[in-house]
Amino acid sequence: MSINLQNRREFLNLTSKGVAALTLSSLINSASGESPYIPTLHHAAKAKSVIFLYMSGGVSHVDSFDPKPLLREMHGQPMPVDVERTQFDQVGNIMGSFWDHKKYGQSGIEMTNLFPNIAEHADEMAVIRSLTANFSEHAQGNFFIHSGFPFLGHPSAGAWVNYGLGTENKNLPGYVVLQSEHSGTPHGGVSIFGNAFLPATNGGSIFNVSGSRAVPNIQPSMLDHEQRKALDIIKTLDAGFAQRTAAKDAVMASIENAETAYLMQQAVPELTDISEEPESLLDEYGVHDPVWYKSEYARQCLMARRLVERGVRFVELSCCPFEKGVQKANPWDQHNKIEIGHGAMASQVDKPIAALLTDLKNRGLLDETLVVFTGEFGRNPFAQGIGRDHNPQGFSAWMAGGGTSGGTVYGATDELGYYATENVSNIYELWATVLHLLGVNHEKLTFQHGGRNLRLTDVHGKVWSDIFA
Amino acid sequence: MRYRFLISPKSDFILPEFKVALIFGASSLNLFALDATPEQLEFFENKIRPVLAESCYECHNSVNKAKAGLALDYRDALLAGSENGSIIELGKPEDSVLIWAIRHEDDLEMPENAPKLEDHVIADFEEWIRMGAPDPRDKKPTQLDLDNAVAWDTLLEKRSNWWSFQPLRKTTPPKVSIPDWNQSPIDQFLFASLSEKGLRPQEQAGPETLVRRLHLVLTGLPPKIEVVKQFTADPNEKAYWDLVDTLLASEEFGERWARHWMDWYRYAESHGSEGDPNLPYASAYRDYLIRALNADVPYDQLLTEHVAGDLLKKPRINQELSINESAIGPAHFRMVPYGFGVVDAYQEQITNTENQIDVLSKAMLGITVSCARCHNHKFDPISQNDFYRLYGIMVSNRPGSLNIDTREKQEINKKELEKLKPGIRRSMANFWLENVDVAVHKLATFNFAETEEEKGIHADMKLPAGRRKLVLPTDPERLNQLLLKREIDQVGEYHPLAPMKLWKELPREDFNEKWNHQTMEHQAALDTYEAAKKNATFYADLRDQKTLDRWYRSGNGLGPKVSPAGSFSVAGEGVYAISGIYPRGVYSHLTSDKHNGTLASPNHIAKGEKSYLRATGLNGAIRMSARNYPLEQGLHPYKRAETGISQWYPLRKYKFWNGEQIHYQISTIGDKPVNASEGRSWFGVTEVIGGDIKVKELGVPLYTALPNASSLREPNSLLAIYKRTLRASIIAWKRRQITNAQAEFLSAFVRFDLLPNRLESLPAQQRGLVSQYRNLESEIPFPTRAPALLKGDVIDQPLLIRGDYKKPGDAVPRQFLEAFDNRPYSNEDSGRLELAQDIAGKANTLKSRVLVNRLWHYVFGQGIVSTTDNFGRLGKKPAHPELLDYLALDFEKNGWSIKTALRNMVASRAFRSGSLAPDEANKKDPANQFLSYYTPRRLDAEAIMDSINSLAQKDFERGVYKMSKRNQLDSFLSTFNFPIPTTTVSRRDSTSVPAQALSMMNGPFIQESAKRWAERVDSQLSESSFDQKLENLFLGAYARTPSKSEHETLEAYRKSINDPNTALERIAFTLLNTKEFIYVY
Repeated sequence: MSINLQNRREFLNLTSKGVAALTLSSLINSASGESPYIPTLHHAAKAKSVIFLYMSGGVSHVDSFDPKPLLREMHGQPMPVDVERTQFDQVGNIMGSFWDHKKYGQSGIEMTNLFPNIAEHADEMAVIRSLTANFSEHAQGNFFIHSGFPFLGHPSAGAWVNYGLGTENKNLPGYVVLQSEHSGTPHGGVSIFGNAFLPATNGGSIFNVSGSRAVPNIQPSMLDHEQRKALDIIKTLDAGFAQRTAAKDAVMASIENAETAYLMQQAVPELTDISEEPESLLDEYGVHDPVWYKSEYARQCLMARRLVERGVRFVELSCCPFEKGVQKANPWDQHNKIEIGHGAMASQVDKPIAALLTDLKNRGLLDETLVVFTGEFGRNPFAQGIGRDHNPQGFSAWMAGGGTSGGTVYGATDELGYYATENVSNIYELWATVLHLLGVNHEKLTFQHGGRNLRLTDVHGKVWSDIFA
Repeated sequence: MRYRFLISPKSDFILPEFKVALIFGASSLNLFALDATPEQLEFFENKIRPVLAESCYECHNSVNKAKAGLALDYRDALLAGSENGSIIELGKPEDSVLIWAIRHEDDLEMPENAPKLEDHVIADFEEWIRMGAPDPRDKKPTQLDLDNAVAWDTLLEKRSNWWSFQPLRKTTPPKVSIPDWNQSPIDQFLFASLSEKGLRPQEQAGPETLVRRLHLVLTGLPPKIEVVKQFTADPNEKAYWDLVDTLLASEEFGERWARHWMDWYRYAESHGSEGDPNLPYASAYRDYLIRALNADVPYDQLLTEHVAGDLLKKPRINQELSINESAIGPAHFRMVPYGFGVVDAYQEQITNTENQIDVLSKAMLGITVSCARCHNHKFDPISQNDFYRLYGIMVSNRPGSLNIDTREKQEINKKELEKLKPGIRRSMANFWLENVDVAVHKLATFNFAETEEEKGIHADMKLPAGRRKLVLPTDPERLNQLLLKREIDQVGEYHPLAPMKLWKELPREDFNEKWNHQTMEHQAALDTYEAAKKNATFYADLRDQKTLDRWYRSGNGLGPKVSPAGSFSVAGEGVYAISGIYPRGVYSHLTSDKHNGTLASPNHIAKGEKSYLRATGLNGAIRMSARNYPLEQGLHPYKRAETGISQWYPLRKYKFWNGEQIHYQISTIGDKPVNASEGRSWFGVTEVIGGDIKVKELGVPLYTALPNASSLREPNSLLAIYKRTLRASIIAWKRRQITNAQAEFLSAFVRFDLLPNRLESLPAQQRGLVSQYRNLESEIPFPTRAPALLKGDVIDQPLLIRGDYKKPGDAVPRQFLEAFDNRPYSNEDSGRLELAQDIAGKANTLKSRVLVNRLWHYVFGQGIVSTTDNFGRLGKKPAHPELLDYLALDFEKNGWSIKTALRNMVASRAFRSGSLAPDEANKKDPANQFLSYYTPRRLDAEAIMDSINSLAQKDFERGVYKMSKRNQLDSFLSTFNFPIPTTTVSRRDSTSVPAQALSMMNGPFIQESAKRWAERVDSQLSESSFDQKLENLFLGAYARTPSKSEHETLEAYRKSINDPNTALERIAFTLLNTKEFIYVY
């Protein structure tokens, strides 16, 4: 191919110099004249990445990480306290757990055997038993837990993290949401992962790990050498345009972008190609499990590790329902038949998450990766049929790695597991803590929008320093 | 005391007079205070205390928050300093940490996250420290003291001095020496300031650039090749103006600018959250904007319409469409996101009302009022009261839809049809009187047993609508039988025709016994019902005119009067003539069931176990709404009235909502606030009850319709009773003396064709009358609807302390913002009309500035105020205040014409500048605020999409028409920064992300478009050379021909492509991928 000399020179000029420095400014409007936010740490970071194990639908805390023996004793009796309004307005009697509990690990954290493999990691877990949410309905709960606000329009935590820390691997997005063939998007839609008013690079990119095309439009539309040639022509034409207008910076940023996109075409297939992983490891995760929802989630867990290995800041996983096509948005939501539903859901995530923790640890990645496990709320201690309705007044989450202290329990609910009573916390505390471990002061990570300095934690938030290593 | 302070004397903490008196009277006072002269103390009170209180106390106080251990709310704490040491060196401002912090000289930049204090304020602090920091605050304050630390009046007065709250100032454009720049005021202002800054304007751009720029800015589409050729051939001044006028007059102009406008009002066609329910008729608002902008409706009119277009005495009528245009204006208030299935209706109301206020204040005024929900605005003259003033206005309306047809259209044939009805009644009654025996015989021989098929259908009909697999019989006879059996099944033994079923099933004695028993039980049930009414927490009898007068009516189907017993409806279609005869009540379809209606109760605080609404209808939508929440599922009861006889419809979640403000509503199905559907629909309603009761279905037992009580005990001959009752009922109907029970009794005979009711079975006279009715009825159109606000109870909202609805304060009267006006609104209605007048009125200094600034932003790439939605303290100040005010005044003077304003902008010399920055501009004005050149910028998402489509296709749908469902936004548009519709956006982001490159490189849209475009060019120029085709591609994409080097590059590229058939497509693909194509420059 012959490009004339003048063009060639401009072309080289544009692509070799200057472009790297523009990576950041490419995020903003070329004409706005505002300087971009330069990621800075406010203090030394413990963690570099977050793996967010989101249990959409709401895991029953009283059946898992916050066992309450009193429920079995009082099984069938009415609640002795006033009951808050519930979503389905079907308030039954107290219902004992279907799962037995015991002390796990050297630390002796009490947990049920709903997640037997995860529980074996007790000494790596910091269990928070006093979380609360302000909403008892899925979509609002999902938005709230992701963004600190109950409706669309505010950036997701992953976007804030990405914005605050900047990227480590420019060929991959900094915030990746993993999905599988049969998993869904939580109620509220993809805006739950959105960047909202933050620069668009910070929004969650959905990777579907089931097929070969994890990312939309990632499959090149032509052969590599043809695409290369087309890209070079485009660059040449762009270079000419950049000379004729005052849009040089923006055009160069776009050129950079196209290059990034080009490289992503290789980076993504490389990411999703797990042929080099040892069979024994794949088995530990359960990648080949004959039960489809187990293998799909196992692949997500493995992919999460591969993503944080490659410097991706925030990885969010999506559960699959245990029946194809049913309840994709909120698979943990067992208003009825909780024994079957929670049993199946736990069997989906238990082994892969345990394998992920082990794998991260073995690779020395757990120290710098913060694993966070939570749903949008817990479930009531009393029955709705033979299930449980939503309970935002008190529920559990856990964290592991990334500077947290394993084997700790923070906060508590009352003896029925209904209200958080000790160190009562909200989602704001959770994100304040996550940001702190990442080296970011949650009160300082702000973005001016609509006349307000907005943050992930709104005007709230306190760091759970008690769970730090 | 000689001097007075401006601070209100609410708290002793802020009342200096008292303090100062103490200072001079007491002996045990602190040295600093003692040393202070009255003048110094006055200085403190006027210059220092208000700033400390306003800007510092929140984070540095001794009550609830002392960041870095520092409190500034009384003298000792201030002198004690922070955890890092003292902050003031008395007499030495240069050595005082406090001064470093407010000057932003240190790492500390105080106040944090807020604009820097103004220079004169900083100078005051320096002066104060130089004086020795005189400070009379000798006591640690209380929380109450802190709350009242700065009197709002003081702040309001001070903050109202902010430039955007000042009246528009008349300014004279300066004369300039360069003739080119002396033609229009815009250029004169711009050139003068360019000169002042030592900047030179760029030379004028070439005609090919201008023709493309004009098209993209005014219509969002690239120019057609013919237009480019014509203009570039002779680009004279007249040709330029002609082009501008043609573009302003084009349909595409409105489509382009309506889309901008839709961003301001977060246009959406669904409510988001779980389920993402549709907002019915949302697109009416989009089309309204397109029409209004194309017709250049004055902006003050549009503003007024946006707030209260439905309430205008003289609305804008669109004769062509026969609609009231103005009434569509408030539709944007409905475009709020709602939470799904909320358990806390009040919290939800606060959230969605905040969104309405947020959009209203940003879109119309360019300020943020919504953040005053919890406390006074931190920087602007917006109080917490202001938020609740508007809140009351908003919640005094209810979400719904409006029939926007003109009055004439709504009333089509109404009078004529009403005139026909008495004749129909008379002649039908006469005909039926001849057929009483036939009717009763038909009933007596009716087979009440259900067939297997009918059982299946009945079971299916009980399922929720979405799960029904129902196939109803098409044969009217069979369908009729099925529906009769079903109705008896639903209503039970008190159905007027049920006794005949019993008569056929039971021996005579058993029947008599059963009959007496039923009668007694029914009377007992009536007693219970009467008692329930007395003890009800809510009871409304819509057969009572006074009750109806208190309810809220909307739609052309509902008249102001209660309809008497015997009112009837003529079927507009189908095989039957009369569709029902009704008891006294309110009905939406007495002329036609194409008419619409919404009837809603006043507010009521739910109390008790149960609630019911007695209704009849065809897809009549019954709702009970908590805090005006419009969604329907689970906790938010919704029922469909689908019976021909009145029945009690239970509203299941009444108990759940105990203590909450609710209202009842019944509407035709097209008027449901969500999930509406079109088609014939009607409702009738008689009663509503709520309380500790369980209402049994009272039905209309036969005995209640009997002409005299003597037949009550001995129904020896049921057939005879039926005959007597039927005859009496028909006569009573004819004479307009029918009772409620007789009407429903008669209706059952009519609706189920026991009395001959088939059109074909009527004698010629009757058939003729009904046909005449139908012909006229067929001319009635289905309503044209738009999302709207309907009237509700007028509410002065209590201020919520710290935004917490569990802490209500005093009720705040509905008014406009304090900074502009203090006239309270009337209590007759919500106050929207008065608000509309205020927003469009003289006192409001923001409206025109905000609008012309937005127009400027879209034309020049950045507003004179670059923060186009924020004209407050956190926004940017105008780069050209004089020009902005000139434009705003000129705009108002030109009849608020948006087209005229745009015409002046695009006609300016500044608009015609080249887009390359002159050398010095990068240094002196890197953001190009002063427009020394035309700012090149990426097109917005729709313009990119439309540009591509315009090359690839002859006819295509523009981006503005893409369905805007919140949870399924178009992915291509979203990739190019289409904003999530939640709040006002008049300045879209323009980020550059890999996903854009991926969708342009690999996405099917570009692939497909490149192919089609190349094919079009190929077929149009089938005989031409490659060069000519290449030129055509360039003209289409860039409105210019290729340069020599571009030609060489692409010629070489063509040759390098192995398959010559794809060469043109590949080139088309590369052109679509260039920045030049997606830029306006």
